[in-house]
Amino acid sequence: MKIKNGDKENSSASKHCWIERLSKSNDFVHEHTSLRENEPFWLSYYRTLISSDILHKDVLPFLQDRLSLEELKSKIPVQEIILSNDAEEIIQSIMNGSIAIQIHQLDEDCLLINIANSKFRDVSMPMLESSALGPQVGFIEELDTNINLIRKRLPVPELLVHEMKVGALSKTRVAVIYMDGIADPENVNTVIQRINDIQYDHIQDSSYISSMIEDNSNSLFPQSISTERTDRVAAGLTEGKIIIAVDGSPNLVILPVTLMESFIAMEDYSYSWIIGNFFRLLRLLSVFISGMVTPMYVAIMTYHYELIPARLLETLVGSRATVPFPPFLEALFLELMIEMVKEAGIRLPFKIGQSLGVVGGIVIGQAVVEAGLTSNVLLILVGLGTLASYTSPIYKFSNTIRFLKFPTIFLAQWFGLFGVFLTFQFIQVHLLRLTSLGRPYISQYPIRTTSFQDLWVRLPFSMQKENPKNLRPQKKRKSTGTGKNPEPMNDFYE
Amino acid sequence: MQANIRHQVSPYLVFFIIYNSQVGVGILGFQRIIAAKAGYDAWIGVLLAGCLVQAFIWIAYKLLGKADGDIIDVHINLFGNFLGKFLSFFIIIYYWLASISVLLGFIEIVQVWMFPTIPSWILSIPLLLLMYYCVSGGFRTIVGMSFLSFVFPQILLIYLYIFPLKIAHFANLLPIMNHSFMEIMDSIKSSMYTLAGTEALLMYYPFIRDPKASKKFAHLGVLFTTLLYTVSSIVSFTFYSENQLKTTIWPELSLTKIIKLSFLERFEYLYISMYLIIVTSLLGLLFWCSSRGLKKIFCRKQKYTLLILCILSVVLSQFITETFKEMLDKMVTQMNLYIFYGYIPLLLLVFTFLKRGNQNG
Repeated sequence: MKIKNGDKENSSASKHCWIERLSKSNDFVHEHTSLRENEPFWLSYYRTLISSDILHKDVLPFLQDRLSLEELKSKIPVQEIILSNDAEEIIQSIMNGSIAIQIHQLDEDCLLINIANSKFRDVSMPMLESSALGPQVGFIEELDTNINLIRKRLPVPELLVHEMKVGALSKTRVAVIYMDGIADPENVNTVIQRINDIQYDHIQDSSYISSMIEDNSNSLFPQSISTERTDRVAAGLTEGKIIIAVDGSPNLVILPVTLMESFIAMEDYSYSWIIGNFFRLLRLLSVFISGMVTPMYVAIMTYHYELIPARLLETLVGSRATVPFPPFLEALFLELMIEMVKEAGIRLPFKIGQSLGVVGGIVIGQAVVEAGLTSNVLLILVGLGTLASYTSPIYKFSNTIRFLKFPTIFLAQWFGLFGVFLTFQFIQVHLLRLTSLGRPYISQYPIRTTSFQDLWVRLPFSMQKENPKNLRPQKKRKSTGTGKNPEPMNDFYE
Repeated sequence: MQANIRHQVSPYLVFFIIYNSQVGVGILGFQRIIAAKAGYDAWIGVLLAGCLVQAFIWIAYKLLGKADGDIIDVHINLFGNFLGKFLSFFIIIYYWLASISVLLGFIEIVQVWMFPTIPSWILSIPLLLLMYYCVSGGFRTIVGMSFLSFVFPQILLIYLYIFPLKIAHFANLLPIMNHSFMEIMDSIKSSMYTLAGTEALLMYYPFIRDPKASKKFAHLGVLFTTLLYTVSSIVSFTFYSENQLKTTIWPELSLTKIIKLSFLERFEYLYISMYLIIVTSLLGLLFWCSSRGLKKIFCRKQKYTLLILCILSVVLSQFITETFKEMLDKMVTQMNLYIFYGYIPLLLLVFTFLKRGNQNG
């Protein structure tokens, strides 16, 4: 805020000061186009922001003759040209890659030609949410390309984009995208209002925005989904969800969401609905297992070994006969170790990542068991639990699940199975209290019929008739009807 | 007097609230108590007691529908501010005592079956922390817990009856009706403690979105729990011999010992742990009722009344003895009987009579 005020004072005090302000930087260029004193144009731009190619090909040729700024504006074949005399706007525009053209150095009027040099990586496959089937297009770091990708999927005028600038220093472009006539206007207003209220110096990623506007920012659970898949975003928009896209971030934020949506992979729709359902429920089960299996091991091995039938108990006890630690420490060590391997795997330089990954995963794991520091069974369980947590297509959510294991292990050590279910109940209450944009986060309560069309299970497309009710969509029904032949299939149906 | 519509719940959810308010630790041990006098005919007593509860629901809906508010509003409406609040105070105390009784009952079970040496306060503090977190989430959170506790684990626990039923002796139940009327009456009286809980309706009535539509769900809820208790008692009666039943304190829990799977036996550990979910949802409801009642009576924030109740409960749970616990259970049963089956019907009569008088005047 302080800096912003300072800017305004400066600009109002002396309007021509902007050249002086910008010239402090070495990559700022302020020069004549001609050596003859009477007919020069003054050019000002940041060498590092503009494309010199366009400057030489499309702009400079027109500056040979003495023309007024208006004439220039109509002649130069560049799309974004503004005539302005507002110092603040000129600075902003130059900072975004425009060149400013003046007739005299002290003129207030400026012609601003945007020839920004934007270099971004090409549209590529989604890095985190990969899938075997379905479209393989992921968002990239440039906002306009991202919006273009969405518009290609939904070429209707109802798709609206509301753009804002957030961040006192970063001036990041943030776009709120929604379908007019489907999305609840109340939700849209809430999102826009909350983004407008953000006061922060810099916004580097969409996660900044999503964690700032979330209903409960102390929660471990992500109350919005951040995705890099174009199909997920487009599907969400048609149901009445709201998308937040941030310039410089390949992850778009979907709001409002329910817990269950973290288990939906877009691949589910590529399979037959029965197989799709099988995998969706499998994901639910594996996340449950991932959170419960190590705490259960600690609880049962510490307090309730009677639960295990004698023959199975033999295997369990036999495998940890040489382990000198109590089950709690054993489990905690192993869980922490796996987390370390995972964390290092992300940070490891790409070239040595693979070879060290093998060392971390296999060599250490094998050695730990052989050295008798942990049991085989626990190694299997922990490995399985960690793998299972990644079945959720939403990366943030799988992190939450693995984090929640630790308090559960502590309570399991303290209270046994009682402690495991105590944490379960704490999490359940927490989820019941959570909201996403004021809508209940947990999707099993209150029960909605729409949750059984495409949330818990995915019915065939012809039976997904309504948009999710918890979003309060303006358009309640989907337009369904598959192009099947109404003729009887065989003699039986005649 | 209706609550804010944003805090209200759909009518069908009343089924789950009623179910949840009735099912607590009682179901784990009531079989022995009701069979004490009426023997194997006691299940008839459970069914009859269910009918009584249905009648109570009808009365409560009539009374609250006329006043369009909770029991405190009814009292203030009828007896004025001071006397009304004074009378309501007793009902609130009942809710609190009932929750203490459930809490102590559950802690006792955990101590006997899982951790024999653990002091009460170590168990009661995390439970009451959970209570505080849950109640401070508002009524919708409480109802959510009731609903979720029905989905898991209640449905699973009903399924578990298959194991004892495989080796059941249904001949135990025969001959039917070989006990005297008074003995059956006694079993009705002793099943009232387990079936108690519907009286929470007197506090949450304003939080139901469409009370008229919810009435049938309330009756269905009572029907469900009555059937659940009847089935549960029949399962116990067909499993145990009469003498064995007399010496088994928690017949329902002992039943689960016979469950044997290839990877799991001694199911009771898991059973008690899962029961935590059911018990905490019930406790949540009762604590919500009592703290909200105190809030309305003393015009303090619910935060403080709930905190005081929680702290008092921890203290009580630590210093309580076996004899005091039995006394408490007896007191709750007596209070339940006299307040909700004696006083409330009378109140309905008085209310109807007085209000009609007012209208004529």
